[in-house]
Amino acid sequence: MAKPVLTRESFLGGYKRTFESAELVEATGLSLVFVAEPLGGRSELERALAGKFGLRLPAPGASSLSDDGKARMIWLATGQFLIVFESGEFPETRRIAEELGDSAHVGEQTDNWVGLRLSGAAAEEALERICPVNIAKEAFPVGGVARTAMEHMGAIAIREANDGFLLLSSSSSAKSFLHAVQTSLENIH
Amino acid sequence: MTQRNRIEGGLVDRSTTLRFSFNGKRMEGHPGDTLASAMLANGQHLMGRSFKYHRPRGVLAAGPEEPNALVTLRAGALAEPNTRATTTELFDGLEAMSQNHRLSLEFDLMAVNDFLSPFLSAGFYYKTFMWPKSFWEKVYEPFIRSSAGLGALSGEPDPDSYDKGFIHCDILIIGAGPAGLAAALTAGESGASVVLADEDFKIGGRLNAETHLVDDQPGADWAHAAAERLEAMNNVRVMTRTTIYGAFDHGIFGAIERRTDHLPDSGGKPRQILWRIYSKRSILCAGATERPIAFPDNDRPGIMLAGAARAYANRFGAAPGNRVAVFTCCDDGWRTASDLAANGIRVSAVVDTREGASAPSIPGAISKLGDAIVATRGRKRLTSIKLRSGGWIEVDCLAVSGGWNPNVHLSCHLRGRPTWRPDIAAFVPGGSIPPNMRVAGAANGDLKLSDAVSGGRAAAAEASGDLGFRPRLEEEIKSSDELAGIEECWSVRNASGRAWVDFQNDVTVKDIDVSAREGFRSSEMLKRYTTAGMATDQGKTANVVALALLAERTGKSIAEAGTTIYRPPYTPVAIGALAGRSRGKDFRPVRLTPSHRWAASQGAVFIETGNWLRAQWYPRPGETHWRQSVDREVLATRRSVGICDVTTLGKIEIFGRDAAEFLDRVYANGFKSLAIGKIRYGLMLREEGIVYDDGTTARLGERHYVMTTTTANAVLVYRNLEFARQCLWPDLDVHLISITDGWAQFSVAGPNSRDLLRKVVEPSFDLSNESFPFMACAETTAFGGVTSRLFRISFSGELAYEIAVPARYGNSMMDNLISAGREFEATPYGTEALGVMRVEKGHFAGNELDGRTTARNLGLGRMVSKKKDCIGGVLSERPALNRADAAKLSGFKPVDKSEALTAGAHFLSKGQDATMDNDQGWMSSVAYSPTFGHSIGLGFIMNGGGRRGETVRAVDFVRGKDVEVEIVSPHFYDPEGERQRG
Repeated sequence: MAKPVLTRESFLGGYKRTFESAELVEATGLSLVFVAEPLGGRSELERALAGKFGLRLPAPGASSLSDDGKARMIWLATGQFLIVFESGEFPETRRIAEELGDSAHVGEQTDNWVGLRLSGAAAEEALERICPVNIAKEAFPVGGVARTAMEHMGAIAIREANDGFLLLSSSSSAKSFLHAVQTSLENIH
Repeated sequence: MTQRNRIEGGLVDRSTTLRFSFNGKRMEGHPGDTLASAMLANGQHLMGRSFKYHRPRGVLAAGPEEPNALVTLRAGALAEPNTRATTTELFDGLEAMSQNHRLSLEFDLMAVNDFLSPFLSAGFYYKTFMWPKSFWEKVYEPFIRSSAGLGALSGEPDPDSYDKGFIHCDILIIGAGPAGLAAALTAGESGASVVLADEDFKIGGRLNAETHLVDDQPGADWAHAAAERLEAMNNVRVMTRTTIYGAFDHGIFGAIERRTDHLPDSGGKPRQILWRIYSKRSILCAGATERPIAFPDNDRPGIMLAGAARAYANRFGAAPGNRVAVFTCCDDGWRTASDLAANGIRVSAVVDTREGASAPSIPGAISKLGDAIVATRGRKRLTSIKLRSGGWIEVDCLAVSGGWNPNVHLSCHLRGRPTWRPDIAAFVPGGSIPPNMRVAGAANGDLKLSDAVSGGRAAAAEASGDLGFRPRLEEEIKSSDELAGIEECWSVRNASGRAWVDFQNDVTVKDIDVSAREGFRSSEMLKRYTTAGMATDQGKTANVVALALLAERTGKSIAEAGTTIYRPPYTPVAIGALAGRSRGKDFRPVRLTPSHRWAASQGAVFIETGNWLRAQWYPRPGETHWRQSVDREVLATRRSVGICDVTTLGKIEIFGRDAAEFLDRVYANGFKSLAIGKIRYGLMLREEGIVYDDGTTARLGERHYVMTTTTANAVLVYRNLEFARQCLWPDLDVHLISITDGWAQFSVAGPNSRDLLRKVVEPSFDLSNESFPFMACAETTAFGGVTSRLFRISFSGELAYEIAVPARYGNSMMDNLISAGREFEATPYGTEALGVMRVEKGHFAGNELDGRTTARNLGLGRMVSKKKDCIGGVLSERPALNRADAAKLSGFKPVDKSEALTAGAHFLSKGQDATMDNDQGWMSSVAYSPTFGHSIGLGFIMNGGGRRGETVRAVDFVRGKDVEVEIVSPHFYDPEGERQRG
């Protein structure tokens, strides 16, 4: 008998659709790594992150890019962060955990989340229908991060570019989340 | 019918003709018309029947305050009753029907009520329908209900879609009349982010209806230019067709934007959008509403508010009548007379209650000062009016002005109580208006145009200054300063006949007299006894008149008598708009398990557990009853191996140097001694000592644990742990993150589970009982190198494992496990078989953790460690929770094995009456056990541990059952646990 081999499936089957003035794409290749700061260990964590990965801890509501620009570290909660990158372009969870050692608590988060990239001139207008936080550019500049709820689903919104957002939400409700964003795009004029 | 009352001028676009129908009668109008203005242009004055007396009614107002001209718009499922014709923007193909009549609008059988009016005054149904008592519910009330009311719903689902959204701004300006526009220009130029919202489809408010000049140009032109300037500002958002319907806490406002109501077809887009507007400052520029004067038969079609009459002429180019009289107690009424005359409409008379009014000359009109109207004639259209000074005057329209009431509504929504201003004879916003709100223009009692403009600018300058912006005020806005004198006149005294105060609810002066006479003398009592102000218009034209009359009758000043206040919504909001997208399957998000697609392909029957959809059982061909599927799944698992997706159980990753200490405090039992690679069962208590969740925690590393919770409590446990971590013990080094969605976790249970797992887990991993015993855990790889976690835990009582891989592989893992397990006849099983096996094994679950049971009730009293403290530990010691005869979890089997047990049955000793006093406990879970071939149950019975072998009754009144059951151990299956440890 052939050896069992698991097939990897993305949560939304690699969804991609172009709307008038916007595009919505499933971010299928993301890796997400949870990094938490041990009590009283901020400076040590900062040193280790900068020295080994070129990363800096972002302020609340913000994110920071690694020196090579390949990973974005986003603020999650007090002392908790998420490193977001395209799989293969940055060290994966196990290596990050090993390199940071006792200076951080590290966990794998990739499959907890579904990622949607929403871009284009209509992106903000569409998000306005479901995102309770102020995502106007003045209040939410490039690099801004908001943890919020959209249509009853916990979500993280990250402004990656002037007209580009990465939206993360629970993978189990990926289809409902897609439906929420897609409906917003369909509903705007 | 042609537009015989269409006159020159106005803001309608005559180059386009729109066709519409009213009660099937075809009419024409133009863009810029409302339904009401177009009907008037077509000579249609009779628009509806009144609520109680079914009196013929025409339009009273020209705005949202309209109480009479309510129609049902569109047809079939799209029909919307009680729509105000005065705010309905005309579109081509519009269909409107009148409401609240039997037979036709012209001939309404229910008009008989008008003759019965002596019996139908305020509170009539409390007094009239007293006998016989039994008739109230069966005869009187149904009759009254079917007679009352306005339009009817279609009874079909609403085919329109609705949406909602969130807007953030520095300054929200409510109303785009002169004050609102002036405020928006000032605030916009200061650089603040501004939202300017107006319910009308045309910016300008009263400027569109008046002939005032602003900056030397007609007010409507100035408003148009101001709107263009504002539209050009990036920091200003102008929202027309948007009603700010409610003011809520923290500067939050509710708004309804009507996106497609003015179009023949929505084109598949949302009809309305419910916006939540977050503002730092707000400026209420909602204008004012004119009020009528109560005089006999003041409700005939053709009698309307004076400001409305000139709005129809000035803005809509529709003559309100051909021979008009004006009845007023203020200078504003004279403006109507002069404007109508300027529009070429014949004004026959102006009647002013004030002796000393300064009366401008109106061509062709007689002026009557210190006079009043005491009677009117004309059933379906006004034909003549009678003056107190004597004589009838033939008119087909009477324009009435009793003065203007500032639109204080939104200032009241957080309990602000308006205060009386005698100089304008009106209530103005007062008391505690919503924080950070300013009121400007007519809404603030500044009824003159120049005051409104300067008030708007000043409010905007203050608001933007508050927020650190620099307003520029050097450019003056020139505007006219009209007369606004008034002498209070609420009703015409010493005139016989019914005089209407609240047109929509048919409340007359007599009703107010009755209320005062019978002791309902506070404004709140008056409202409830007479229903004045309780209709869908919230008494916009009625309230102040009613309150003033009550004050008169009770010998108080209006300021002393006080006023009722308003609550949201300012104007009616469709329930569909409040529901938004949350309809049908979009009501809540749906969570799918990783193997969902596989399960669906197998024809699984799904059940909702919270937001999750879980496979309940997997029917096979030939199985016609769910029990056949479930029995098969149970027996196949116990015989060989079964597989169940248990991803929905909460999974929480816990990190930290102090994680063990943390677990020790949140679980009732000890966790400090848990070794790496081991799992421990744990019990969680609420603060008052009741058990609320149970689960396992595995230690994967020195500082790394994984907790599982029940599916139902996954979020609650996580929230409680976060609270404990952040607030109770911030001194502990602990971090939490949910991994429920991240790992596809399946139970592989049954005697062949080890052999099956050997085929898929990394070959070097030793699954033998010695190396990987019951309650062991490990991180390894499976399926050719995929990261996986293995837990040797069992809910079924069998030798069992849970295997987890990253969720993206979940669907494929189910497929692979079934394929690899073919030689063992591996069987997928659903939540129902899972439940049967846990009852057979005697594990408690949600049915048992009902918020009342203690560890002692569950037979786990000794798990609450006395060697340490834990959440709930102290209060679990309370004597009442530790009685010797406390109910204890026990098993129950029917004496007659053919009997089916029912959950919810209560236990009684044989021979005892079924009373609460004799109640000894309850059955919490039952199942048909295919393993034992009969029904079994778990439940709680007093002193249960010591009563094994005793027979009691299980009485279930709900299902009419009374079954003898034997008390047994809850562990029906493998009580020694040899199978799960084997």
